[in-house]
Amino acid sequence: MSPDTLNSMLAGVQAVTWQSLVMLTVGCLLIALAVVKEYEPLLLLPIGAGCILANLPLSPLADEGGMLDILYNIGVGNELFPLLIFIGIGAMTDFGPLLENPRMVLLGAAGQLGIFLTLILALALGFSRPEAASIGVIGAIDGPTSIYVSGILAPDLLGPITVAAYSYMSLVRIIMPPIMRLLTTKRERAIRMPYSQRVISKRTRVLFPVVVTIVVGILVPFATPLIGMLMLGNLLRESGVVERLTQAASNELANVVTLFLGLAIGSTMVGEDFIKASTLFILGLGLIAFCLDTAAGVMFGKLLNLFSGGKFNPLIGAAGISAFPMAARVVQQEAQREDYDNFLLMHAMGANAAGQVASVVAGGVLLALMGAG
Amino acid sequence: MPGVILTIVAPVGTVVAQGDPLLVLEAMKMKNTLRAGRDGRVAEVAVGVGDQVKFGDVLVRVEDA
Repeated sequence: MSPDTLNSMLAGVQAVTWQSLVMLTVGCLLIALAVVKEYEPLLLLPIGAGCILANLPLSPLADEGGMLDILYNIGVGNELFPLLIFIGIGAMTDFGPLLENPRMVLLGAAGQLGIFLTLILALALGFSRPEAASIGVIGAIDGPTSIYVSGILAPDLLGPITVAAYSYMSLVRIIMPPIMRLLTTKRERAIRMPYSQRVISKRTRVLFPVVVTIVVGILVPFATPLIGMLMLGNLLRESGVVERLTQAASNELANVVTLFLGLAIGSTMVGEDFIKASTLFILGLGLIAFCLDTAAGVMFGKLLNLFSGGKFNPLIGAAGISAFPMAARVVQQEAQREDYDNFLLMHAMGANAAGQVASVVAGGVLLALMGAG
Repeated sequence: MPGVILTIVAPVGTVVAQGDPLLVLEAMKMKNTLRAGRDGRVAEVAVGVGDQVKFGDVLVRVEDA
């Protein structure tokens, strides 16, 4: 056998770099988190698989025209996939708890404060303005919004930002409780809140997505794609006349797009681009953004408690982020640690639904501030 | 809180202490354990597994043991 033949047969082995080995390990780690710990397995498993496939030496999948490259171009590079996912999320979300208790909107807004604080911090660390804005969005703990915003403002950082957003989403129940306990007193956590028994009419439920789309669309045009798709999905659900479309949006469409999105995002995690100091900064800043959002929500909850004369449990403030419904569940768990007979779940769901809408609006505001177009 | 009864932990006749689990209610895809508010004996379980319950429904009555 001539040395040339041997060389070409071992081309794969020779093309292995230390970076690709690190990324293969990262991919395996993501899959392990999904399988063993069941942390957001629907996303982390495809992302891990995409990461491994893209980092194999000379991978034809990730080359131009390869499957991963095609998926990236048809859905991530042009923002299509996150928008399709939002139709599914809208079809799965019940805004009833929010409509029953509209003041929860305030908490959704407060929960976005960390985004803007982190933006300032990232600027101070030397990230460019569009990059800093994309990193701040991690604080909303909203995967599709993070992908959408960073895809437009900072496509180079898409991989680390998405991984950060989804990792922290899966760590909601680990990261949030210590902050919530630190900022509240035992007495505040034990505050019980009665349920209003307001019945939400079907007309209100159907009008809600339409009105929100029009109002937000006019106020924050950059949020129109995200809010429009979220509310389209919700309109399908609440209209009650297109059961098949609702099912398709919340099952088939959401599932297929989740698989494609995960693979495509994983394929952006290529060794040479991913193993950089900036990735660590992004992971760190994302965590700070998340903590600040939680803290801001709880502090705002305390403010509401003050104004309401001690009738508002500040824990609910922590649910004003987008991670739905995990954030609301954490609130419920924390309240029950103090008083097993205290049920805040529906209130927290209202704040959580508001947080979902608010994070989309915050994403749109950021895009507008950065002058994207 | 509206939801569906998932399991009944303490059937009629069970002697319970304050804080013991009585039944599990699933609401918003989350399992909520409802616990006894006092010591006593379960006198009546007004719901069955799979029942849809509304806000304010009586689920379990606990009387003096």
